[in-house]
Amino acid sequence: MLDLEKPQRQSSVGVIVIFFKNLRKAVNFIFYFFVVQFSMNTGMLFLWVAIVVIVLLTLVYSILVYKRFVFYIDEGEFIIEKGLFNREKIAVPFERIQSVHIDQNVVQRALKVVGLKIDTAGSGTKELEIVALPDTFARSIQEYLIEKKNLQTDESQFQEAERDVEGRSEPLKEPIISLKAIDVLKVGLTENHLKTSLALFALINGYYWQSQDFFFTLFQDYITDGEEFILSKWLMVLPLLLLSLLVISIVISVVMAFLKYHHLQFFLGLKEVVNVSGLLKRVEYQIPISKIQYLKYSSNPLRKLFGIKTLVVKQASSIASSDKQSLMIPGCKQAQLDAVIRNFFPELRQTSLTFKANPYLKIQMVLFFSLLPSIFIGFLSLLNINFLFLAILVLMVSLPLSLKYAANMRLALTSEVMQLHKGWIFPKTEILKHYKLQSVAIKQNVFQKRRNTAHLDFYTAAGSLRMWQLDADVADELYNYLLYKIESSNEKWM
Amino acid sequence: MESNSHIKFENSVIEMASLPQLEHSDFHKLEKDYLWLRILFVSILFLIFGSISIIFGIISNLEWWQPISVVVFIFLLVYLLENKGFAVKGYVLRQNDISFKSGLFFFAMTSVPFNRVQHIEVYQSPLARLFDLGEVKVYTAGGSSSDISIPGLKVEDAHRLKDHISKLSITYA
Repeated sequence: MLDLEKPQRQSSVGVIVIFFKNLRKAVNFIFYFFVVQFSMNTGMLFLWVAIVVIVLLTLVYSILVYKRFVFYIDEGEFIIEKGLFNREKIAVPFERIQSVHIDQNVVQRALKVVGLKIDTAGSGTKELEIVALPDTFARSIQEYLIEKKNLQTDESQFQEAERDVEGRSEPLKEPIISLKAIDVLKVGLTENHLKTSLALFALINGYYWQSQDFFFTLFQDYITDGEEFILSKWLMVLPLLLLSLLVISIVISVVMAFLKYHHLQFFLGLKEVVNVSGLLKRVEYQIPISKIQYLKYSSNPLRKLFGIKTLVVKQASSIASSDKQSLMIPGCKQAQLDAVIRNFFPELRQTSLTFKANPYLKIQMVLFFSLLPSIFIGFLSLLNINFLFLAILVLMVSLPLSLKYAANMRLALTSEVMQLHKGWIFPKTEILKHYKLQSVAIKQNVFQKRRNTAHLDFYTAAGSLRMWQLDADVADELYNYLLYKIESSNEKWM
Repeated sequence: MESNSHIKFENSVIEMASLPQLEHSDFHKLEKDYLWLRILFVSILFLIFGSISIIFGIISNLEWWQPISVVVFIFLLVYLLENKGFAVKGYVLRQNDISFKSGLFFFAMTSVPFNRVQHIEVYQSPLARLFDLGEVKVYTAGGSSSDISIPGLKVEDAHRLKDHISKLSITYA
């Protein structure tokens, strides 16, 4: 039987797991000594001594960290005590536990242990993680905590007949979504490469400036020769540079996709959804169905070509905006997506009413995303006439995009479910049941008042959504209707 | 507003017109003292800025009334806006929800159903204590922008409102 009353340590191999975790930080230090060695030519011995000292210090530190890390259960709270220099005691009452995850990275897999993570409902969330536990022990803790937590939170609930108080209500059946290697490859290839390239560029730029002196001493001879060449031929070099950046970011995206989404399996149970994925680190992620607030799916032009979409499961959390609290499943085929949505929203088959945004949204979008930017660039043409062409180009591209975006914004409602459609190049749809709403708001600025339009804001425990520029009378009626739906519903939002 | 555009939902047979409507006339104004509180608050700010600008005026060889008149002009403007803004602010307590509206240039009306209230508290700023005013804050699980905070209530009213709402929201918990 599980005995967690007494404070206890992790598996003794935990030292090694902690050591490798800290080693990653230590490598940064070692890199610094490399730089010093090269730039000051201090000799190989100095470097080796430095490395050995750093690794030894890391080891000692890891042992101490391991020794001082204990966890136990006391009076309805899960408690972790840790800290070398400042002792820290983190206590989580069972009912504040959101979910308990088990995962395994390469080191943990080699040592045959798993990590246990506990998500809480506090806003100043402290990380609660035990890095090394035997698999069976971790699972029994997971089950125990979920059981306790359900008992605590269910005390006030009444309709419990159909629920059993197990950690997992039934063994996992067929996954409703599963990704093969080819699907993961598609996901990697169709990532937003523009974004990755920019991030990569920023990273390289940062590293370059940090270690500029170091690089200069290394390549000084080449640079003075090459500088003139590079400057004169920058028009040729730049596309090449961009191309290589693009290729690198595609490779990175594919590798990352495999690391994260390899053999992804998404299961739909009676009580929770379970997602298992990852190549080196298999991560199992569980979300109780009652915690799910809304679903979102999105796409981009490349993914449209492959016919795949990204599904995001949004769960209730105190840190509403953070993506850490939502589950992302890229590479879903339409049929798989439909199956999930049918399962969550059987009511969607009912006829729905669709409300489009007021045409004023078009004016607004064109003004802010098309006219103002081009006018700004147009002003720059006072400095250089070439900017005029850029301004015209920006106007020509952004004008249809803004118009399309505005034309595509719509809200579709049935008596139980609403769907919010946005975007054209990057279309996304958010689906939620009315009773999952926390509150509703109408926003109307002076300009909207004149044109008789208003925004409608929907607040859920997983973040807020907005329908832009509805006709004011429609917004009013929907506001009253949704309030009525929330107030007349007996369903628990969580 | 056209009145023939009422929304019908085929399945639920709910006629929009039959739903309880939140009419702007239902809203209660805040206590008049709250306007004085705001004006006092603005005045204190301007007293500080005013004296700073006088010092600057003296240093930069302006006539003493020049910076003062700028400060007075801004003060009058703010006073006017506070007055107008006060007229917009209001709350209404219904059987199942509480609503608050505000915003002269950026109007916003938010309603929180009682079966979504997480917790509720009465808050008193130091200035509000002078006027015996209190603020009722209604929290939901939807993040800070979905919460409602109703200022400018008499303290005893604020506590009554709080007790009323927490009693109602407990029945849903």
